[in-house]
Amino acid sequence: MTSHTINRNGNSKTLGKRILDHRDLYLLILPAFIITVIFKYVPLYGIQLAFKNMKLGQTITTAKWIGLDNFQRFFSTGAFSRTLVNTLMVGILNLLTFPLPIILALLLNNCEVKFIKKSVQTITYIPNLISVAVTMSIVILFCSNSTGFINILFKNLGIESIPFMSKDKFVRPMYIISGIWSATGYNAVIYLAALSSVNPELIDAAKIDGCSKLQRIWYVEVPKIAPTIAILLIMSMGSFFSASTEKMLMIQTDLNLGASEIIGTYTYKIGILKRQYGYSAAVDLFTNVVNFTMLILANFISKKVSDSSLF
Amino acid sequence: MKQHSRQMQKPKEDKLINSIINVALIIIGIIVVYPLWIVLISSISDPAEISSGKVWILPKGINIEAYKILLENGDLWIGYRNSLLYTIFGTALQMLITTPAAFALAKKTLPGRRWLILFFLFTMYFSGGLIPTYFVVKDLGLVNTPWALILPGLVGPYNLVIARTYYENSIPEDMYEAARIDGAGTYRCFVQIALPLSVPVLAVMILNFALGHWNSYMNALVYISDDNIQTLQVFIKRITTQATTALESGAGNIDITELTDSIRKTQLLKYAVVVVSSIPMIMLYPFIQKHFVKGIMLGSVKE
Repeated sequence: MTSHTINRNGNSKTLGKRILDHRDLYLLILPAFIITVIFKYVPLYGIQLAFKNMKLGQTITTAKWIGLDNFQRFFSTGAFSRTLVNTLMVGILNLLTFPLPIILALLLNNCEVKFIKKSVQTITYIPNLISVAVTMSIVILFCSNSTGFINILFKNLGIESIPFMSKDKFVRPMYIISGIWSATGYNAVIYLAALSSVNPELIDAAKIDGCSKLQRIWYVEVPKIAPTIAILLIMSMGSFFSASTEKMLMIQTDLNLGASEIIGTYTYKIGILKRQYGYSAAVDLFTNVVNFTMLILANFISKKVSDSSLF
Repeated sequence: MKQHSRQMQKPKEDKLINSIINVALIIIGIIVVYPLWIVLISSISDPAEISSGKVWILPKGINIEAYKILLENGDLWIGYRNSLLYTIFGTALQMLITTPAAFALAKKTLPGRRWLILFFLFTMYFSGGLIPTYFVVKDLGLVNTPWALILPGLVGPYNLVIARTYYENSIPEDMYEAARIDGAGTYRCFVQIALPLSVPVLAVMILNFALGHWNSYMNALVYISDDNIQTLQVFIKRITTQATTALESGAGNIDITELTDSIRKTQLLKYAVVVVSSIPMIMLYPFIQKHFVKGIMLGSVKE
C-alpha cells in the first residue's frame, strides 16, 4: 500500500509509465516529428549520391558506387578553387559587418528623443520585410550600366559611367552593401531585446557614481549583451560558408562569373540544370561538412571563452 | 573641488553624446530609406525625367504608366495571387504544426525532451542538401505542385526553439496546475492558457513564417516549372535579370535615347514591381511590431 503511494507521487515510476503519462504531449509533437523525418532525415539517405554516379533511369539505391571520384573531380577542376574563394570571400566580408547591428542597437537604446528612436527603428527594420529578389532588383535599378540611378547621376556630374553589372570587382560590394541594408535593422532588434533586460537600477547606480553615458554604454550595456553577441556569432560561423545562392543568382551576369560563381550557384547549375546529381551532391556534402565543423568549433571556443553556447 | 567640477561637466559631456547619437541615427535613417524613396518616386515619374537624372528628391512629371504596364502583365498577377495563397496557407499550416510541438517541448517533465529538441535542432545545421532533398520531394510526387513549396519547410526549427523558450520562461507551471485541478487536460491547457499568453511570440512566428513564404524563390526555381503555379519572386527575378543581361552584355554604354521601347517599359515595370510586391509584408508589419521586442526577448533568453 505504501509503496503504491510512492509510485503514484514519487519519481520511481518506470520510464514506460512516464511516457504513457505524457502521451498527450507526444501527440502534439507527432506531426512536426513526422514532417521532419520525411523532409530532413530521409534526404540524409540520399547523401550517398555523393559517392555514386547516377545515370538516367537509376535510383539513389541502384546507382553505381564510384568512391571519391566526384570529390576528386571537384577538387581537381578550376571550379573548386574559384567557387571556394568566391564563397569564402563573401562569407568573410559578411562576418566583418557583424558589429553594425550592435552599434545600431546601442545607438537606439541610448537615444533620448523618442520620435527619432521609434522612426529610425521602424525604418531600419523595413528592408528585412523586402524579399531578396526585390532587394537585388533595387540594386540592379541603382547599378545598371546605362539605366541605373548611379550612372545617370554620374553622367550629370560629368563622371564616366561605371559598368557595375559586368565587372567582377563590383560583385562583392553589391552583395555586402545590400546585405548590410537588409539585415542590420533586423539583427539590431535582437540586441535591443537583450538590452531591454538591463536593470534600470544598475544604470542609476552608474549615474550616481559619476559614469558618463559613454562609460555606461561600455561598462554596463555591452557586457549585458555579450552572451547574445556570442550566440549570434556562433550562428553566423555556421553559415559563414554558405553565401546566399538566391542573392548571387540575382546579380550574376555572364560577365561577372569570375566573382559571382559561388558554391551554391554552382551546385544549383550542375545539379538542377545539368542534372549531374552525384557531382552536385558531393559539392553540397563538402559545404555541409565544413559548415557543421565550423559551427561545432565556434561553439566549443565560445563555451571555453565566454560560457555562452548554442548547445 | 576637483571632484565637484567633474560632476558639473558630466551633463555637458552627455549632452554632446546625445546629439551625436541623434545625428547618427538620423543619417542612418535617411541612408536606409533613400533607395526605397528613389524607387517609389521613380515609379510615378516621367521616364524621360528619370533618364535625365532629375528624379532624385521628388517625383517629376507625375506619370502612372509604370502601373499601367504592371496591370497588363498577366504573369505577374498570377504570381501575386499564388504567392499570397502560399503565404497564407503555408503560414497557417506552419503555425498549426510548430506551436503545439513547441508547447509540448517546453514541459520539463517530458521524457526524452533533450533528445527531441536535439532532433529538431540538428536539421538547422546539417541537411541532406539540394539534390537529396529534391529526390525526396520528387519521389513523393510533389514536384510542380504547390506542396513542394509548403511541405518541406513546414517545421521551422528556429521558430520552434524560440516558441519553446518562450513557453518555458514566461508561463509558470503553477498556472497549468491550477487549471488541471479544475479538470483541464493537456489540450485545454494549451488552447486556453498557453495560446492566449503567448501572443507576442506567435506574432513573431507569423511574421517570420510569412516572410519566408512570400520572399523565397530558390525553392520555386528548383521545384516549379509550371507558370500557372509559379511564385511572384520568380517572375520578379525573370523580369529583372532578363532585361539586365540583354542590356549589360550588349555594350557598356548604350545611349539612353536609343533604348528600345520594350527596354524602357521593362525598366518602368521594375520600379512598379518593387513597390507593389513589397506592400503585403509592409502592411503586415504594424500589427506585429508592438509584440516584437517582447516576443524576441522572452524567446531568446536561455534558461
